[in-house]
Amino acid sequence: MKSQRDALRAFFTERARGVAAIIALAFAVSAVGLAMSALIVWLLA
Amino acid sequence: MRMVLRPGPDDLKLIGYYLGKVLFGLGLVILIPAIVALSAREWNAATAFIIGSSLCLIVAGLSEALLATKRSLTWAHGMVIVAVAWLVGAIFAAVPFMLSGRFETPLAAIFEAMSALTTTGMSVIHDLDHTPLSEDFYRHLLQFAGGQGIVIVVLSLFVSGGAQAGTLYAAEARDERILPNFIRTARFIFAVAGTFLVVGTLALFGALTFAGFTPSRALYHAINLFFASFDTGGFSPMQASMAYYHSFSVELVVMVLMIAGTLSFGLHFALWRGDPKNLLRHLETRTLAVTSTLFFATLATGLVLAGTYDSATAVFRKGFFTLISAMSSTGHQVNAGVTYLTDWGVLAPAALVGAMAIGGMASSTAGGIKAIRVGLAFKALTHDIRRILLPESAITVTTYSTGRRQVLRDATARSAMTVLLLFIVTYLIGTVTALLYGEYALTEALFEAVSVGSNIGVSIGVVDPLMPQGLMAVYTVMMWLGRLEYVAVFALVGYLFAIARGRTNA
Repeated sequence: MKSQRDALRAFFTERARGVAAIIALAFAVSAVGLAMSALIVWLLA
Repeated sequence: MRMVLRPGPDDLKLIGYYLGKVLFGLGLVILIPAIVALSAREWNAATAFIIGSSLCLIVAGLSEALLATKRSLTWAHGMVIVAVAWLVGAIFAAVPFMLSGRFETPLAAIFEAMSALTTTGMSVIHDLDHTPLSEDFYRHLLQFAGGQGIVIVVLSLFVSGGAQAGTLYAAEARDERILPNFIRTARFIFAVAGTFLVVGTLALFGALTFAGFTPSRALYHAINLFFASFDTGGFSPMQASMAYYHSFSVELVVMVLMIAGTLSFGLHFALWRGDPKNLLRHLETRTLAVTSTLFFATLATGLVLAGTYDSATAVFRKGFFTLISAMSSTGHQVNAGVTYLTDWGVLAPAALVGAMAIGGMASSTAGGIKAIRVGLAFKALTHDIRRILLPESAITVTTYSTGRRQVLRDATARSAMTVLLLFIVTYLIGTVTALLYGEYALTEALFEAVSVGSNIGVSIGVVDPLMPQGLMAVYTVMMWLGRLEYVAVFALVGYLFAIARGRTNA
């Protein structure tokens, strides 16, 4: 019973970590995009 | 040139048998919108789906009864099966579209099915905003099936043996071996997609509810948008695409899903296993980072200089979103296609065309030349320049990382350059074909050809329900070629040549 619970926890931990890392990366890319937008608008204003 | 062996009846039987299995899977896929149609009481649509599904299942049943074989697949068989499966699959998947009455011609229905399966996202449907829910759901579901790789999805479920699946996996332009066994690799890909399906749909549901949608409408749009965004397909439940929602939060979630969709499954695997260093070292990540930065700097400069947008938020929401949509090969649009021509000046559309041509990462759901090939071509170029500049006795070795350090070999560089060149030739063929009709300007023809050939789906307006049928046929073939990255299609052509002119064994 305990090993089943551990396996289930490992299953969800791996998925949560993977998805969180990818979402964090995507948000970082978006943040760079927003920063570049601001910089270019400011430079060309 | 009579070296090629003519395939025998047993070879054709084997190919037919596996095609039957693919059609069996497609028949099951078509049953899902049939259930949606029945529960939504859309009787006409339900009938169309039941007929479409039955056709697939009948042909699959006949193939099982008449062609069943235990022979193993060779490399050539795998390539031919995949090339034919994507054509035959699009034709069978088009049956419910043909019966819906929303397409001008049968070719338009096949175009829509091919656009869905190849995750291109161009649409020639009439009156999308009043399409039955089940039919719209079906368009998006096909993008999900195609994005995951319909052949490998089906065969990993219904065929035992990793070697058989491996042949088909590589032929379907998914050549990254994440795990030693192809079935396990396919299952990992399903696990990623399944997890994102839950997380992405929930996030979109939240964003749409926040934007004022009722819960049932929010759920329906969330599921469809997830399929179209994570699988970099680009269909949308509404004619106006993403512009319909007028919601920054929806655009942000969609942007995250598009970025996740354009990352190769190998990088997903590295991140799931907590190995971010792999991500940073990878030649493809670096190429994508450099090219997308350069393209966005050009695009944003073009937009500001043309006076299209003057605030950072507008440049981000319109420009950056469109760039991500183009590079990820999704094709979601936040403004009408014609504005690229009328409002965006010259620099911004040019950057967009460049971004569309390169596309996303290999072994992801993205299309285009792929960043890894551009990276390899650049490495090969710098390698040649170094060889010229260094003394003749010097040995030049160029390395790159794809998770592990590799030496750049001539064969690898040649293969990358060949596919890159083939994509460019395809873009030119699409452009010239459109120009021959005399209805389109060079900018429109080139923009649309690159978008179709790279399976992107951002449209400047050439693709519409009343476009010339010849051009529609050429675009359909371009989507097929682009999705399979040529190799499987060339193998099919070679196989047909062998059938006609090959040497018999006796």
